[in-house]
Amino acid sequence: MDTSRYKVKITNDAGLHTRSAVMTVKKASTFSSSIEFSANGMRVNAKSIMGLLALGASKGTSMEIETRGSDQVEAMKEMVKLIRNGFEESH
Amino acid sequence: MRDEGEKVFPATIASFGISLGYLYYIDQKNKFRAETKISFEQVDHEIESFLGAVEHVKNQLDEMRLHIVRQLGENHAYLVEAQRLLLKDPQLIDKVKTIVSVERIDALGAIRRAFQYFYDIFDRNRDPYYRERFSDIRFIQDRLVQFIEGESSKRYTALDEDAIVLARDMSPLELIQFTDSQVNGIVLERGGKTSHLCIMARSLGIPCLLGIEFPKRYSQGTKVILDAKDGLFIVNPEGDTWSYYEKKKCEFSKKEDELLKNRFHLAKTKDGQRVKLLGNLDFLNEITSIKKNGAEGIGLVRTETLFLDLPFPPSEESQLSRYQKIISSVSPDDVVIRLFDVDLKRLNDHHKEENPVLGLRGIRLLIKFESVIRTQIRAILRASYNANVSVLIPMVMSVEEICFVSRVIDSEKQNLKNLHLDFNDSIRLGAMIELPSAAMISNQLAKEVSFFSIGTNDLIQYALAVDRSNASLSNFNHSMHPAILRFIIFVAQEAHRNGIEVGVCGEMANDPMMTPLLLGAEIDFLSMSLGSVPIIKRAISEFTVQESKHCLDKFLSIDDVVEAEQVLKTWHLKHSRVL
Repeated sequence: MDTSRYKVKITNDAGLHTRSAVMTVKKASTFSSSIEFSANGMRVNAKSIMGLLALGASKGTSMEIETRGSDQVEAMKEMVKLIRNGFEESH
Repeated sequence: MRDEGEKVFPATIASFGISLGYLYYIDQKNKFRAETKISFEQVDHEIESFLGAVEHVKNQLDEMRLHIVRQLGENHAYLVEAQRLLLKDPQLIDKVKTIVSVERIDALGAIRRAFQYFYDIFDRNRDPYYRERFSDIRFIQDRLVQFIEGESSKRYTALDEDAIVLARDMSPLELIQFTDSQVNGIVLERGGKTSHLCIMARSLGIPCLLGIEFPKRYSQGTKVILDAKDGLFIVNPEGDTWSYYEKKKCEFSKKEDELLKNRFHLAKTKDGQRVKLLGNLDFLNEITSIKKNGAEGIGLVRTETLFLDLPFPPSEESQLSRYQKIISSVSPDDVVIRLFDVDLKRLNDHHKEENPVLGLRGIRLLIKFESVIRTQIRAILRASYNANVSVLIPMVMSVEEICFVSRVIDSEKQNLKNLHLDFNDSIRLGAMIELPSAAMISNQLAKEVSFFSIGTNDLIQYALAVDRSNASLSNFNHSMHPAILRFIIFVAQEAHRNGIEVGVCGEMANDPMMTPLLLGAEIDFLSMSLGSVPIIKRAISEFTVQESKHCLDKFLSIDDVVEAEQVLKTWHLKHSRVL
């Protein structure tokens, strides 16, 4: 199967900061597929918090998601959902 | 190194108390060993040593998580979450393993190189929020390095009981990891009294001293005494000194217990004059200490420290929920919420200021970034529905700045009305008097607000040109400068002439030595660290208004700061039991 690719915009105020990066890594780690985010001329492993924080994606950043592996479709769905919901910001 | 006899170092007190114990250095950052080349046979051993360190630090973090949840609430737990993920980070682990096996560098060197690789990437990110994550990542690096170094040299012992921690500087997170094993006291070579660490030490009741320059490095485990009552740090105390302090410590805690008994009484002078005692609140977890210490409400919510765990500025909803928690914990007592007092750097702005203390901060910044103040005002108005809440404006220096806030409040009330949301229609407005310029025009300012709160920390800094984070300037008590007292007297007179209340917040309110002077200046309320409420209540009860006025008069007639302090001390010893 070909790699799944999808572009999304970061919508939450805080962007991909510590809390949302924690949520992303946790969610991404439940899939066996490789998951990568690219933005700002950088491509990082979505299962790596170091990578996600280094990406520094703030609100409005357009980010490409790539998933590849046995559960790539499901992984893509969940990643897009997480970002679109603004990482369930607010508590 | 051989340790000689008893040595006494004077120090600045950041959090009261007395501790006896053993020295424990926590920063060994400058003592890095150089990286070493290894042979092929050693590769597996070094990788194992790295993975062992990861495992060990992971356990440390698990424990830290428990403490954080207990002390700061579930909200802050994600700080540790992020670090746990950092430890498991596939990129990081691969990087270290590769450096060890391909470049044949020992585990310590490989860790340093791998982290440096990520620091470089972070450095390219111009957003200050992400660059500040540095400290979180460095924290992990330090733990790993400490563990491996300790393993290899065997000179590392876990935090023993009665440890008195000594560091050049320390982050609040570093303190949290220690607080369950017995941190008896903290000594910092650097750092100011108003740093987050000191505020936290006070709220956790850990004695803390600042600004000591040590001529040399003492060995780990040296016997020490931390006297954060008289501001002394004693290294290698003799037997007599030790037993004297054991007694003194006992008396101190007995006195503390006794003081807590007065928590249900209101603060009154000997002749019955009421003075309102309020608490300062920096962290949500302090809510439980408000009633315990007998504060009559909250005189200063420092909103900029309340959201340290969130990117700045926090959303309206997260502000609303925290303000509601605070307000409901003391309602119907008063709560004074100060608008964000931050500098430009804290906002996501790439502008760097040469001198942020004299730069765009406090209300000046909020005027420039109007959406920040609008969000905050909305959250405060909504949270204070049916409660007695005031908004306090930081760094005021003109009438126009107050009028700006009034206009924002009015228009946000209208917005909330249109949205059919509940809000406080009768919120009060107060001004911080912390600039000499504001003090001089307090007559005009008084016509626009319901109360003044004199912020003595900044007032001292701006009036005396003393940088409060500069430890080399902290060798005498600047609040004793007669100019500061004259400012306070003047502002109090102008407030009363206009029929509004005046209070003092900041370190001066915490200091029982200063209490009669503030009483003499006819201050209506004092807002202080929660832990200081009982002792200040006692101090107030020891004087009549007339006596306090005499004390103030006498004090003002002295020109020399050091002499003034002496005179005040003598006067106290004659009249009161608080010192």
